Amino acid sequence: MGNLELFIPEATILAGAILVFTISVMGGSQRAGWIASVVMAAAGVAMSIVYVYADGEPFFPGIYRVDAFSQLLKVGITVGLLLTVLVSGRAESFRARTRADMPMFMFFAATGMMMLVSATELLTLYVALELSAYGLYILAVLHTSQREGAEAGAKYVLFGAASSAMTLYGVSLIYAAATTTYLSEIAQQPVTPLMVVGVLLALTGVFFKLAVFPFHAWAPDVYEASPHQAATFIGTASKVAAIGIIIRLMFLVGQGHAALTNVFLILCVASMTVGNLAAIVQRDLKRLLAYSTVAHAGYIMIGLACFSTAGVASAIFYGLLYVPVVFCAFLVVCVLGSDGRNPSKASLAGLYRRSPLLAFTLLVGMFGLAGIPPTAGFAGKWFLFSAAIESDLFWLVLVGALNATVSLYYYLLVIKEAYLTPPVDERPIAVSFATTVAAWLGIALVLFVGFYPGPLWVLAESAARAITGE
Amino acid sequence: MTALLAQSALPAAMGSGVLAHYLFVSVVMFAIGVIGFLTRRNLIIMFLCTELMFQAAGIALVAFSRYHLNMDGQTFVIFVLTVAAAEAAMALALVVLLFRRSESLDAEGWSEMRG
Repeated sequence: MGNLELFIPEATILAGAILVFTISVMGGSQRAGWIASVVMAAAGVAMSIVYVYADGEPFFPGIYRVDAFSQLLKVGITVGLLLTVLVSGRAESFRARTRADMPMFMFFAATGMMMLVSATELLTLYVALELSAYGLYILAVLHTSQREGAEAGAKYVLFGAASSAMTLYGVSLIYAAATTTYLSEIAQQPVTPLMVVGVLLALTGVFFKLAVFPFHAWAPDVYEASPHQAATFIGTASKVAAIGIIIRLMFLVGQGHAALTNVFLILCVASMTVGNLAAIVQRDLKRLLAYSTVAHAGYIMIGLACFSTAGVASAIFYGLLYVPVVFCAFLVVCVLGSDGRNPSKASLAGLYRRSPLLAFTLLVGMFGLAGIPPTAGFAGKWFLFSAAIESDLFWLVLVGALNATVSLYYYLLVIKEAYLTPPVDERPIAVSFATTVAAWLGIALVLFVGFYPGPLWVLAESAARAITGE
Repeated sequence: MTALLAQSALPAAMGSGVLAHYLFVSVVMFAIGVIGFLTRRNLIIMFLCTELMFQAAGIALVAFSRYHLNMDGQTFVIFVLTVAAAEAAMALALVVLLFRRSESLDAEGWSEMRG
Protein backbone atom coordinates (compact mmCIF):
# COMPACT_ATOMS: atom_id res chain seq x y z
CA MET A 1 0.00 0.00 0.00
CA GLY A 2 1.12 3.50 -0.76
CA ASN A 3 0.78 6.73 1.14
CA LEU A 4 -2.96 7.27 1.64
CA GLU A 5 -2.38 10.86 2.73
CA LEU A 6 -1.92 11.83 -0.91
CA PHE A 7 -5.60 11.08 -1.52
CA ILE A 8 -6.75 13.87 0.83
CA PRO A 9 -7.80 16.38 -1.90
CA GLU A 10 -10.12 13.83 -3.55
CA ALA A 11 -11.28 12.56 -0.16
CA THR A 12 -12.29 16.10 0.84
CA ILE A 13 -14.46 16.50 -2.24
CA LEU A 14 -15.93 13.00 -1.76
CA ALA A 15 -16.70 13.86 1.89
CA GLY A 16 -18.42 17.01 0.59
CA ALA A 17 -20.71 14.91 -1.61
CA ILE A 18 -21.62 12.64 1.30
CA LEU A 19 -22.14 15.60 3.64
CA VAL A 20 -24.50 17.35 1.22
CA PHE A 21 -26.38 14.08 0.73
CA THR A 22 -26.68 13.55 4.49
CA ILE A 23 -28.00 17.07 5.06
CA SER A 24 -30.56 16.58 2.29
CA VAL A 25 -31.68 13.18 3.65
CA MET A 26 -31.98 14.49 7.22
CA GLY A 27 -34.37 17.13 5.94
CA GLY A 28 -31.99 20.09 6.23
CA SER A 29 -32.87 23.23 4.29
CA GLN A 30 -31.47 23.90 0.85
CA ARG A 31 -29.49 26.79 2.32
CA ALA A 32 -27.81 24.54 4.91
CA GLY A 33 -26.78 22.13 2.17
CA TRP A 34 -25.48 24.97 0.05
CA ILE A 35 -23.38 26.45 2.88
CA ALA A 36 -21.93 23.00 3.56
CA SER A 37 -21.08 22.60 -0.12
CA VAL A 38 -19.36 26.02 -0.26
CA VAL A 39 -17.29 25.13 2.82
CA MET A 40 -16.35 21.70 1.46
CA ALA A 41 -15.50 23.05 -1.99
CA ALA A 42 -13.30 25.73 -0.40
CA ALA A 43 -11.65 23.02 1.72
CA GLY A 44 -11.11 21.01 -1.48
CA VAL A 45 -9.37 23.98 -3.14
CA ALA A 46 -7.22 24.50 -0.03
CA MET A 47 -6.24 20.82 0.11
CA SER A 48 -5.43 20.73 -3.62
CA ILE A 49 -3.15 23.75 -3.16
CA VAL A 50 -1.50 22.21 -0.08
CA TYR A 51 -0.77 19.02 -2.01
CA VAL A 52 0.19 20.70 -5.27
CA TYR A 53 3.84 19.60 -4.92
CA ALA A 54 2.93 16.12 -3.66
CA ASP A 55 4.42 13.14 -5.46
CA GLY A 56 3.84 9.44 -4.97
CA GLU A 57 1.21 6.72 -5.12
CA PRO A 58 -1.64 6.52 -2.60
CA PHE A 59 -2.82 3.00 -3.56
CA PHE A 60 -1.39 -0.15 -5.14
CA PRO A 61 1.64 0.44 -7.36
CA GLY A 62 1.01 1.63 -10.88
CA ILE A 63 -2.71 2.39 -10.86
CA TYR A 64 -2.94 5.88 -9.39
CA ARG A 65 -0.20 8.45 -9.75
CA VAL A 66 0.00 11.68 -7.77
CA ASP A 67 2.48 13.99 -9.51
CA ALA A 68 2.95 17.60 -10.56
CA PHE A 69 0.62 17.05 -13.52
CA SER A 70 -2.33 15.53 -11.67
CA GLN A 71 -2.09 17.89 -8.71
CA LEU A 72 -2.08 21.04 -10.84
CA LEU A 73 -5.13 19.90 -12.79
CA LYS A 74 -6.87 19.04 -9.50
CA VAL A 75 -6.45 22.67 -8.43
CA GLY A 76 -8.18 23.72 -11.66
CA ILE A 77 -11.03 21.26 -11.12
CA THR A 78 -11.65 22.26 -7.51
CA VAL A 79 -11.50 25.98 -8.35
CA GLY A 80 -14.11 25.36 -11.04
CA LEU A 81 -16.24 23.49 -8.51
CA LEU A 82 -15.91 26.24 -5.89
CA LEU A 83 -16.82 29.01 -8.32
CA THR A 84 -19.84 27.07 -9.60
CA VAL A 85 -21.05 26.25 -6.09
CA LEU A 86 -20.73 29.92 -5.10
CA VAL A 87 -23.24 30.97 -7.78
CA SER A 88 -25.70 28.14 -7.07
CA GLY A 89 -27.01 29.62 -3.81
CA ARG A 90 -30.57 29.90 -5.08
CA ALA A 91 -30.25 27.76 -8.20
CA GLU A 92 -33.56 29.02 -9.62
CA SER A 93 -33.10 27.21 -12.91
CA PHE A 94 -33.16 23.84 -11.15
CA ARG A 95 -36.44 22.07 -10.41
CA ALA A 96 -37.46 23.01 -6.85
CA ARG A 97 -37.39 19.48 -5.47
CA THR A 98 -33.87 18.81 -6.71
CA ARG A 99 -32.17 22.01 -5.49
CA ALA A 100 -30.99 20.49 -2.21
CA ASP A 101 -29.40 17.44 -3.87
CA MET A 102 -27.92 19.26 -6.83
CA PRO A 103 -24.48 20.06 -5.25
CA MET A 104 -24.04 16.36 -4.47
CA PHE A 105 -23.89 15.49 -8.17
CA MET A 106 -21.34 18.26 -8.77
CA PHE A 107 -19.16 16.88 -5.97
CA PHE A 108 -19.39 13.30 -7.22
CA ALA A 109 -18.54 14.43 -10.75
CA ALA A 110 -15.62 16.49 -9.40
CA THR A 111 -14.34 13.45 -7.48
CA GLY A 112 -14.45 11.44 -10.70
CA MET A 113 -12.58 14.17 -12.60
CA MET A 114 -9.87 14.39 -9.93
CA MET A 115 -9.40 10.62 -10.01
CA LEU A 116 -9.39 10.72 -13.80
CA VAL A 117 -6.36 13.02 -14.03
CA SER A 118 -4.43 10.75 -11.63
CA ALA A 119 -5.43 7.40 -13.15
CA THR A 120 -2.51 5.55 -14.77
CA GLU A 121 -4.19 2.24 -15.41
CA LEU A 122 -6.82 1.59 -18.07
CA LEU A 123 -9.50 0.17 -15.75
CA THR A 124 -9.07 2.95 -13.15
CA LEU A 125 -9.17 5.44 -15.98
CA TYR A 126 -12.35 4.00 -17.46
CA VAL A 127 -14.23 3.83 -14.15
CA ALA A 128 -13.15 7.37 -13.21
CA LEU A 129 -14.23 8.60 -16.66
CA GLU A 130 -17.71 7.16 -16.12
CA LEU A 131 -17.92 8.48 -12.55
CA SER A 132 -17.07 11.98 -13.76
CA ALA A 133 -19.69 11.79 -16.50
CA TYR A 134 -22.70 10.42 -14.58
CA GLY A 135 -22.97 13.39 -12.24
CA LEU A 136 -23.00 15.72 -15.24
CA TYR A 137 -25.69 13.68 -17.04
CA ILE A 138 -28.03 14.00 -14.06
CA LEU A 139 -27.28 17.71 -13.56
CA ALA A 140 -28.26 18.36 -17.17
CA VAL A 141 -31.77 16.92 -16.63
CA LEU A 142 -32.78 19.03 -13.65
CA HIS A 143 -34.05 22.10 -15.51
CA THR A 144 -37.27 23.68 -14.18
CA SER A 145 -38.90 23.25 -17.54
CA GLN A 146 -39.00 19.48 -17.45
CA ARG A 147 -39.35 18.89 -21.16
CA GLU A 148 -36.33 20.95 -22.11
CA GLY A 149 -34.21 19.43 -19.37
CA ALA A 150 -35.13 15.85 -20.19
CA GLU A 151 -34.30 16.38 -23.86
CA ALA A 152 -30.92 17.86 -23.04
CA GLY A 153 -30.28 15.01 -20.63
CA ALA A 154 -31.33 12.30 -23.09
CA LYS A 155 -29.10 13.77 -25.76
CA TYR A 156 -26.18 14.11 -23.36
CA VAL A 157 -26.54 10.57 -21.97
CA LEU A 158 -26.86 8.98 -25.40
CA PHE A 159 -23.90 10.83 -26.91
CA GLY A 160 -21.93 10.26 -23.72
CA ALA A 161 -22.68 6.53 -23.72
CA ALA A 162 -21.71 6.21 -27.40
CA SER A 163 -18.47 8.11 -26.77
CA SER A 164 -17.51 6.03 -23.77
CA ALA A 165 -18.24 2.87 -25.76
CA MET A 166 -15.75 4.16 -28.35
CA THR A 167 -13.21 4.78 -25.61
CA LEU A 168 -13.82 1.27 -24.31
CA TYR A 169 -13.30 -0.29 -27.71
CA GLY A 170 -10.08 1.69 -28.07
CA VAL A 171 -9.02 0.47 -24.64
CA SER A 172 -9.65 -3.14 -25.68
CA LEU A 173 -7.37 -2.65 -28.71
CA ILE A 174 -4.66 -1.01 -26.58
CA TYR A 175 -4.90 -3.98 -24.21
CA ALA A 176 -4.68 -6.36 -27.17
CA ALA A 177 -1.53 -4.67 -28.45
CA ALA A 178 0.23 -4.39 -25.10
CA THR A 179 -1.22 -7.27 -22.98
CA THR A 180 -1.19 -5.01 -19.95
CA THR A 181 -3.44 -2.30 -18.55
CA TYR A 182 -0.73 -0.18 -16.89
CA LEU A 183 -0.05 3.00 -18.86
CA SER A 184 3.64 3.06 -17.85
CA GLU A 185 4.14 -0.45 -19.26
CA ILE A 186 2.09 0.28 -22.38
CA ALA A 187 4.27 3.31 -23.15
CA GLN A 188 7.35 1.06 -23.25
CA GLN A 189 5.86 -1.36 -25.78
CA PRO A 190 6.74 -1.03 -29.48
CA VAL A 191 4.20 1.11 -31.35
CA THR A 192 2.06 -1.16 -33.55
CA PRO A 193 -0.74 -0.07 -35.89
CA LEU A 194 -3.20 -1.81 -33.55
CA MET A 195 -1.99 0.38 -30.69
CA VAL A 196 -2.32 3.57 -32.76
CA VAL A 197 -5.87 2.66 -33.78
CA GLY A 198 -6.68 1.88 -30.15
CA VAL A 199 -5.33 5.18 -28.89
CA LEU A 200 -7.19 7.06 -31.64
CA LEU A 201 -10.50 5.36 -30.74
CA ALA A 202 -9.94 5.98 -27.05
CA LEU A 203 -9.17 9.65 -27.76
CA THR A 204 -12.34 9.94 -29.89
CA GLY A 205 -14.40 9.26 -26.79
CA VAL A 206 -12.56 11.92 -24.83
CA PHE A 207 -12.87 14.46 -27.67
CA PHE A 208 -16.63 14.24 -27.10
CA LYS A 209 -16.10 15.44 -23.54
CA LEU A 210 -13.95 18.34 -24.69
CA ALA A 211 -16.45 19.12 -27.51
CA VAL A 212 -13.89 19.06 -30.32
CA PHE A 213 -15.32 19.29 -33.86
CA PRO A 214 -16.82 16.96 -35.23
CA PHE A 215 -17.77 15.51 -31.83
CA HIS A 216 -19.34 18.75 -30.60
CA ALA A 217 -22.98 18.25 -31.72
CA TRP A 218 -24.23 17.74 -28.18
CA ALA A 219 -22.63 20.84 -26.71
CA PRO A 220 -24.91 23.68 -27.93
CA ASP A 221 -28.13 21.78 -27.16
CA VAL A 222 -26.97 20.59 -23.76
CA TYR A 223 -25.67 24.04 -22.80
CA GLU A 224 -28.90 25.65 -23.96
CA ALA A 225 -31.32 23.30 -22.23
CA SER A 226 -29.49 22.43 -19.02
CA PRO A 227 -29.73 24.54 -15.86
CA HIS A 228 -27.31 27.50 -15.85
CA GLN A 229 -25.16 26.20 -13.01
CA ALA A 230 -24.97 22.75 -14.62
CA ALA A 231 -23.78 24.36 -17.86
CA THR A 232 -21.25 26.39 -15.87
CA PHE A 233 -19.86 23.23 -14.30
CA ILE A 234 -19.78 21.34 -17.60
CA GLY A 235 -18.08 24.31 -19.24
CA THR A 236 -15.36 24.79 -16.61
CA ALA A 237 -14.21 21.83 -14.51
CA SER A 238 -15.00 19.04 -16.96
CA LYS A 239 -12.81 20.62 -19.67
CA VAL A 240 -9.76 20.53 -17.40
CA ALA A 241 -10.30 16.82 -16.73
CA ALA A 242 -10.75 16.11 -20.45
CA ILE A 243 -7.46 17.87 -21.30
CA GLY A 244 -5.74 15.85 -18.59
CA ILE A 245 -6.91 12.52 -19.95
CA ILE A 246 -6.08 13.43 -23.55
CA ILE A 247 -2.52 14.27 -22.52
CA ARG A 248 -2.15 10.97 -20.63
CA LEU A 249 -3.43 8.93 -23.60
CA MET A 250 -1.66 10.70 -26.47
CA PHE A 251 1.83 9.97 -25.12
CA LEU A 252 1.16 6.22 -25.09
CA VAL A 253 2.45 5.98 -28.66
CA GLY A 254 5.62 7.99 -28.14
CA GLN A 255 6.20 11.62 -29.00
CA GLY A 256 4.43 12.47 -32.18
CA HIS A 257 3.35 9.46 -34.21
CA ALA A 258 2.62 10.77 -37.71
CA ALA A 259 -0.99 9.53 -37.89
CA LEU A 260 -1.84 10.94 -34.48
CA THR A 261 -0.22 14.30 -35.22
CA ASN A 262 -2.18 14.64 -38.46
CA VAL A 263 -5.47 13.84 -36.75
CA PHE A 264 -4.72 16.41 -34.05
CA LEU A 265 -3.85 19.08 -36.62
CA ILE A 266 -7.02 18.48 -38.67
CA LEU A 267 -9.31 18.48 -35.62
CA CYS A 268 -7.57 21.56 -34.27
CA VAL A 269 -8.08 23.67 -37.39
CA ALA A 270 -11.64 22.40 -37.98
CA SER A 271 -12.65 22.95 -34.38
CA MET A 272 -11.39 26.54 -34.23
CA THR A 273 -12.94 27.50 -37.53
CA VAL A 274 -16.34 25.84 -37.11
CA GLY A 275 -16.68 26.98 -33.51
CA ASN A 276 -15.95 30.62 -34.29
CA LEU A 277 -18.05 30.82 -37.46
CA ALA A 278 -21.06 29.16 -35.79
CA ALA A 279 -20.80 31.40 -32.73
CA ILE A 280 -21.22 34.55 -34.84
CA VAL A 281 -24.86 33.85 -35.69
CA GLN A 282 -25.98 32.79 -32.19
CA ARG A 283 -28.38 35.01 -30.27
CA ASP A 284 -28.78 32.86 -27.18
CA LEU A 285 -25.87 33.65 -24.86
CA LYS A 286 -25.47 30.03 -23.72
CA ARG A 287 -25.36 28.70 -27.28
CA LEU A 288 -22.78 31.37 -28.09
CA LEU A 289 -20.67 30.19 -25.16
CA ALA A 290 -21.09 26.57 -26.30
CA TYR A 291 -19.71 27.32 -29.76
CA SER A 292 -16.97 29.40 -28.19
CA THR A 293 -16.11 26.27 -26.17
CA VAL A 294 -15.73 24.35 -29.43
CA ALA A 295 -13.39 27.06 -30.72
CA HIS A 296 -11.38 27.02 -27.50
CA ALA A 297 -11.06 23.24 -27.66
CA GLY A 298 -9.41 23.96 -31.02
CA TYR A 299 -6.98 26.48 -29.48
CA ILE A 300 -6.03 23.94 -26.81
CA MET A 301 -5.42 21.36 -29.53
CA ILE A 302 -2.75 23.70 -31.00
CA GLY A 303 -0.64 23.02 -27.93
CA LEU A 304 -1.40 19.30 -27.94
CA ALA A 305 -0.64 18.91 -31.66
CA CYS A 306 2.94 20.09 -31.00
CA PHE A 307 3.67 16.89 -28.99
CA SER A 308 6.39 18.80 -27.11
CA THR A 309 6.90 19.75 -23.48
CA ALA A 310 6.23 23.41 -24.27
CA GLY A 311 3.10 22.46 -26.20
CA VAL A 312 1.67 20.33 -23.42
CA ALA A 313 2.56 22.97 -20.84
CA SER A 314 0.77 25.64 -22.86
CA ALA A 315 -2.30 23.40 -23.25
CA ILE A 316 -2.39 22.81 -19.48
CA PHE A 317 -1.89 26.53 -18.88
CA TYR A 318 -4.72 27.43 -21.24
CA GLY A 319 -7.04 24.78 -19.80
CA LEU A 320 -6.50 26.12 -16.30
CA LEU A 321 -6.97 29.80 -17.09
CA TYR A 322 -10.02 28.95 -19.20
CA VAL A 323 -11.85 28.00 -15.98
CA PRO A 324 -12.06 31.51 -14.44
CA VAL A 325 -12.33 33.20 -17.85
CA VAL A 326 -15.39 31.30 -19.05
CA PHE A 327 -16.79 31.32 -15.53
CA CYS A 328 -16.97 35.14 -15.65
CA ALA A 329 -19.21 34.85 -18.71
CA PHE A 330 -21.35 32.09 -17.19
CA LEU A 331 -21.81 34.04 -13.96
CA VAL A 332 -23.67 36.73 -15.88
CA VAL A 333 -25.84 34.02 -17.48
CA CYS A 334 -26.63 32.57 -14.05
CA VAL A 335 -27.71 35.94 -12.63
CA LEU A 336 -29.60 37.23 -15.67
CA GLY A 337 -31.34 33.89 -16.21
CA SER A 338 -32.58 33.62 -12.64
CA ASP A 339 -36.14 33.22 -13.93
CA GLY A 340 -35.06 29.92 -15.51
CA ARG A 341 -34.97 31.24 -19.06
CA ASN A 342 -31.84 31.68 -21.13
CA PRO A 343 -30.59 35.23 -21.53
CA SER A 344 -30.22 36.33 -25.14
CA LYS A 345 -27.75 38.87 -26.43
CA ALA A 346 -30.56 41.46 -26.54
CA SER A 347 -31.37 40.97 -22.86
CA LEU A 348 -27.90 42.30 -22.04
CA ALA A 349 -28.97 45.78 -23.20
CA GLY A 350 -27.82 48.43 -20.76
CA LEU A 351 -26.36 45.94 -18.33
CA TYR A 352 -23.80 48.58 -17.38
CA ARG A 353 -26.54 50.83 -15.94
CA ARG A 354 -28.40 48.00 -14.26
CA SER A 355 -25.43 46.37 -12.56
CA PRO A 356 -21.90 47.75 -13.10
CA LEU A 357 -20.33 44.69 -11.44
CA LEU A 358 -22.06 42.22 -13.77
CA ALA A 359 -21.14 44.30 -16.80
CA PHE A 360 -17.50 44.40 -15.69
CA THR A 361 -17.47 40.65 -15.05
CA LEU A 362 -18.85 40.09 -18.54
CA LEU A 363 -16.23 42.46 -19.95
CA VAL A 364 -13.39 40.56 -18.27
CA GLY A 365 -14.81 37.23 -19.37
CA MET A 366 -15.27 38.24 -23.00
CA PHE A 367 -11.85 39.96 -23.18
CA GLY A 368 -10.37 36.81 -21.68
CA LEU A 369 -12.08 34.57 -24.23
CA ALA A 370 -11.02 36.87 -27.06
CA GLY A 371 -7.46 36.98 -25.73
CA ILE A 372 -7.11 40.73 -25.21
CA PRO A 373 -4.32 41.87 -22.83
CA PRO A 374 -4.04 42.22 -19.87
CA THR A 375 -6.40 39.29 -19.29
CA ALA A 376 -5.21 35.71 -18.83
CA GLY A 377 -6.57 34.78 -22.27
CA PHE A 378 -3.80 36.80 -23.93
CA ALA A 379 -1.06 35.09 -21.93
CA GLY A 380 -2.58 31.70 -22.73
CA LYS A 381 -2.73 32.32 -26.48
CA TRP A 382 0.81 33.73 -26.38
CA PHE A 383 2.16 30.50 -24.89
CA LEU A 384 0.12 28.32 -27.27
CA PHE A 385 1.30 30.20 -30.35
CA SER A 386 4.93 30.34 -29.22
CA ALA A 387 4.90 26.58 -28.58
CA ALA A 388 3.57 26.06 -32.10
CA ILE A 389 6.30 28.26 -33.59
CA GLU A 390 8.95 26.29 -31.67
CA SER A 391 7.55 23.16 -33.35
CA ASP A 392 7.74 24.80 -36.81
CA LEU A 393 3.98 25.03 -37.19
CA PHE A 394 3.86 28.63 -38.36
CA TRP A 395 0.81 28.06 -40.60
CA LEU A 396 -1.10 26.81 -37.54
CA VAL A 397 -0.31 30.02 -35.68
CA LEU A 398 -1.60 31.96 -38.67
CA VAL A 399 -4.89 30.00 -38.66
CA GLY A 400 -5.17 30.48 -34.91
CA ALA A 401 -4.55 34.22 -35.13
CA LEU A 402 -7.10 34.62 -37.94
CA ASN A 403 -9.63 32.72 -35.85
CA ALA A 404 -8.91 34.88 -32.82
CA THR A 405 -9.65 37.93 -34.97
CA VAL A 406 -12.96 36.48 -36.14
CA SER A 407 -13.92 35.63 -32.57
CA LEU A 408 -13.20 39.21 -31.51
CA TYR A 409 -16.22 40.28 -33.55
CA TYR A 410 -18.86 38.37 -31.63
CA TYR A 411 -17.24 38.82 -28.23
CA LEU A 412 -17.17 42.58 -28.73
CA LEU A 413 -20.80 42.58 -29.93
CA VAL A 414 -21.76 41.14 -26.54
CA ILE A 415 -19.75 43.88 -24.80
CA LYS A 416 -21.37 46.52 -27.01
CA GLU A 417 -24.84 45.33 -25.95
CA ALA A 418 -23.86 45.50 -22.30
CA TYR A 419 -22.15 48.89 -22.37
CA LEU A 420 -23.50 50.99 -25.24
CA THR A 421 -27.12 49.94 -25.90
CA PRO A 422 -29.62 51.82 -23.72
CA PRO A 423 -31.51 49.56 -21.30
CA VAL A 424 -35.09 48.46 -22.04
CA ASP A 425 -35.69 47.65 -18.41
CA GLU A 426 -34.15 50.23 -16.05
CA ARG A 427 -34.51 48.24 -12.83
CA PRO A 428 -31.17 47.46 -11.17
CA ILE A 429 -30.29 43.78 -10.83
CA ALA A 430 -29.86 42.40 -7.32
CA VAL A 431 -26.66 40.38 -6.95
CA SER A 432 -26.33 38.20 -3.86
CA PHE A 433 -23.24 38.38 -1.64
CA ALA A 434 -21.91 34.95 -2.64
CA THR A 435 -22.28 35.80 -6.33
CA THR A 436 -20.43 39.09 -5.75
CA VAL A 437 -17.60 37.16 -4.08
CA ALA A 438 -17.54 34.69 -6.98
CA ALA A 439 -17.46 37.55 -9.50
CA TRP A 440 -14.51 39.27 -7.81
CA LEU A 441 -12.73 35.95 -7.38
CA GLY A 442 -13.14 35.18 -11.08
CA ILE A 443 -12.03 38.67 -12.13
CA ALA A 444 -9.05 38.55 -9.75
CA LEU A 445 -7.89 35.18 -11.11
CA VAL A 446 -8.22 36.29 -14.73
CA LEU A 447 -6.34 39.56 -14.18
CA PHE A 448 -3.71 38.02 -11.87
CA VAL A 449 -2.77 35.35 -14.39
CA GLY A 450 -2.89 38.03 -17.09
CA PHE A 451 -0.41 40.28 -15.28
CA TYR A 452 1.77 37.56 -13.69
CA PRO A 453 1.61 34.45 -15.87
CA GLY A 454 5.02 33.39 -14.51
CA PRO A 455 4.08 31.33 -11.43
CA LEU A 456 1.32 29.37 -13.18
CA TRP A 457 3.53 28.83 -16.23
CA VAL A 458 6.32 27.36 -14.06
CA LEU A 459 3.79 24.95 -12.52
CA ALA A 460 2.38 24.04 -15.94
CA GLU A 461 5.90 23.39 -17.27
CA SER A 462 6.77 21.06 -14.40
CA ALA A 463 3.42 19.32 -14.92
CA ALA A 464 4.22 18.82 -18.61
CA ARG A 465 7.67 17.49 -17.74
CA ALA A 466 6.06 14.90 -15.45
CA ILE A 467 4.30 13.52 -18.54
CA THR A 468 6.91 13.88 -21.27
CA GLY A 469 9.76 12.91 -18.94
CA GLU A 470 12.17 15.61 -20.17
CA MET B 1 -7.02 -34.56 -7.08
CA THR B 2 -4.78 -34.52 -10.13
CA ALA B 3 -7.83 -34.05 -12.33
CA LEU B 4 -8.90 -31.05 -10.25
CA LEU B 5 -5.43 -29.56 -10.44
CA ALA B 6 -5.36 -30.08 -14.17
CA GLN B 7 -8.68 -28.27 -14.49
CA SER B 8 -7.54 -25.31 -12.41
CA ALA B 9 -4.32 -24.95 -14.36
CA LEU B 10 -4.22 -22.43 -17.19
CA PRO B 11 -5.88 -23.78 -20.36
CA ALA B 12 -3.97 -24.23 -23.57
CA ALA B 13 -3.43 -21.13 -25.68
CA MET B 14 -6.10 -20.18 -28.21
CA GLY B 15 -5.10 -20.26 -31.86
CA SER B 16 -5.09 -16.98 -33.77
CA GLY B 17 -7.70 -18.45 -36.15
CA VAL B 18 -10.17 -18.81 -33.27
CA LEU B 19 -9.28 -15.31 -32.08
CA ALA B 20 -10.14 -13.97 -35.52
CA HIS B 21 -13.65 -15.44 -35.24
CA TYR B 22 -14.27 -13.70 -31.96
CA LEU B 23 -12.89 -10.42 -33.28
CA PHE B 24 -15.06 -10.68 -36.36
CA VAL B 25 -18.19 -10.95 -34.20
CA SER B 26 -16.97 -8.09 -32.05
CA VAL B 27 -16.24 -5.77 -34.98
CA VAL B 28 -19.56 -6.56 -36.65
CA MET B 29 -21.43 -5.83 -33.42
CA PHE B 30 -19.56 -2.58 -32.96
CA ALA B 31 -20.28 -1.52 -36.53
CA ILE B 32 -23.98 -2.35 -36.17
CA GLY B 33 -23.99 -0.29 -32.99
CA VAL B 34 -22.34 2.77 -34.56
CA ILE B 35 -24.45 2.68 -37.72
CA GLY B 36 -27.65 2.14 -35.76
CA PHE B 37 -26.82 4.98 -33.39
CA LEU B 38 -26.27 7.37 -36.27
CA THR B 39 -29.25 6.38 -38.41
CA ARG B 40 -32.10 5.44 -36.05
CA ARG B 41 -34.15 8.12 -34.35
CA ASN B 42 -35.97 6.15 -31.64
CA LEU B 43 -34.41 6.73 -28.22
CA ILE B 44 -34.70 3.13 -27.07
CA ILE B 45 -33.13 1.82 -30.27
CA MET B 46 -30.34 4.40 -30.04
CA PHE B 47 -29.71 3.31 -26.49
CA LEU B 48 -29.69 -0.37 -27.48
CA CYS B 49 -27.10 0.48 -30.10
CA THR B 50 -24.77 1.98 -27.48
CA GLU B 51 -25.24 -1.23 -25.47
CA LEU B 52 -24.21 -3.23 -28.55
CA MET B 53 -21.06 -1.12 -28.78
CA PHE B 54 -20.26 -1.79 -25.11
CA GLN B 55 -20.76 -5.53 -25.45
CA ALA B 56 -18.68 -5.60 -28.63
CA ALA B 57 -15.81 -4.09 -26.64
CA GLY B 58 -16.48 -6.67 -23.92
CA ILE B 59 -16.19 -9.58 -26.38
CA ALA B 60 -12.94 -8.17 -27.75
CA LEU B 61 -11.53 -7.81 -24.23
CA VAL B 62 -12.44 -11.37 -23.24
CA ALA B 63 -11.11 -12.81 -26.50
CA PHE B 64 -7.77 -10.99 -26.25
CA SER B 65 -7.53 -11.91 -22.60
CA ARG B 66 -7.96 -15.60 -23.43
CA TYR B 67 -5.59 -15.35 -26.38
CA HIS B 68 -2.78 -13.80 -24.32
CA LEU B 69 -3.65 -15.95 -21.25
CA ASN B 70 -3.68 -12.73 -19.22
CA MET B 71 -6.69 -12.32 -16.95
CA ASP B 72 -6.71 -8.47 -16.78
CA GLY B 73 -9.07 -8.30 -19.74
CA GLN B 74 -11.68 -10.55 -18.15
CA THR B 75 -11.51 -8.59 -14.88
CA PHE B 76 -12.04 -5.47 -16.96
CA VAL B 77 -15.24 -6.89 -18.45
CA ILE B 78 -16.77 -7.52 -15.01
CA PHE B 79 -16.31 -3.82 -14.23
CA VAL B 80 -17.63 -2.81 -17.65
CA LEU B 81 -20.82 -4.84 -17.09
CA THR B 82 -21.40 -3.12 -13.75
CA VAL B 83 -20.82 0.33 -15.19
CA ALA B 84 -23.04 -0.42 -18.18
CA ALA B 85 -25.83 -1.54 -15.84
CA ALA B 86 -25.64 1.77 -13.99
CA GLU B 87 -25.69 3.61 -17.30
CA ALA B 88 -28.72 1.62 -18.47
CA ALA B 89 -30.61 2.44 -15.29
CA MET B 90 -29.96 6.14 -15.74
CA ALA B 91 -30.69 6.26 -19.44
CA LEU B 92 -33.95 4.31 -19.14
CA ALA B 93 -35.10 6.52 -16.24
CA LEU B 94 -34.52 9.48 -18.54
CA VAL B 95 -36.41 7.85 -21.37
CA VAL B 96 -39.40 7.28 -19.08
CA LEU B 97 -39.24 10.90 -17.91
CA LEU B 98 -39.13 12.14 -21.47
CA PHE B 99 -41.95 9.87 -22.60
CA ARG B 100 -44.21 11.08 -19.77
CA ARG B 101 -43.74 14.66 -20.90
CA SER B 102 -43.94 14.40 -24.64
CA GLU B 103 -45.66 11.03 -25.36
CA SER B 104 -43.04 10.36 -28.00
CA LEU B 105 -39.59 8.85 -28.17
CA ASP B 106 -38.76 10.23 -31.58
CA ALA B 107 -35.60 12.32 -31.55
CA GLU B 108 -36.79 14.09 -34.73
CA GLY B 109 -39.60 15.62 -32.71
CA TRP B 110 -37.20 17.77 -30.73
CA SER B 111 -38.04 20.81 -32.74
CA GLU B 112 -36.30 23.33 -30.55
CA MET B 113 -33.07 21.38 -30.41
CA ARG B 114 -30.92 21.48 -33.48
CA GLY B 115 -27.15 21.00 -33.18
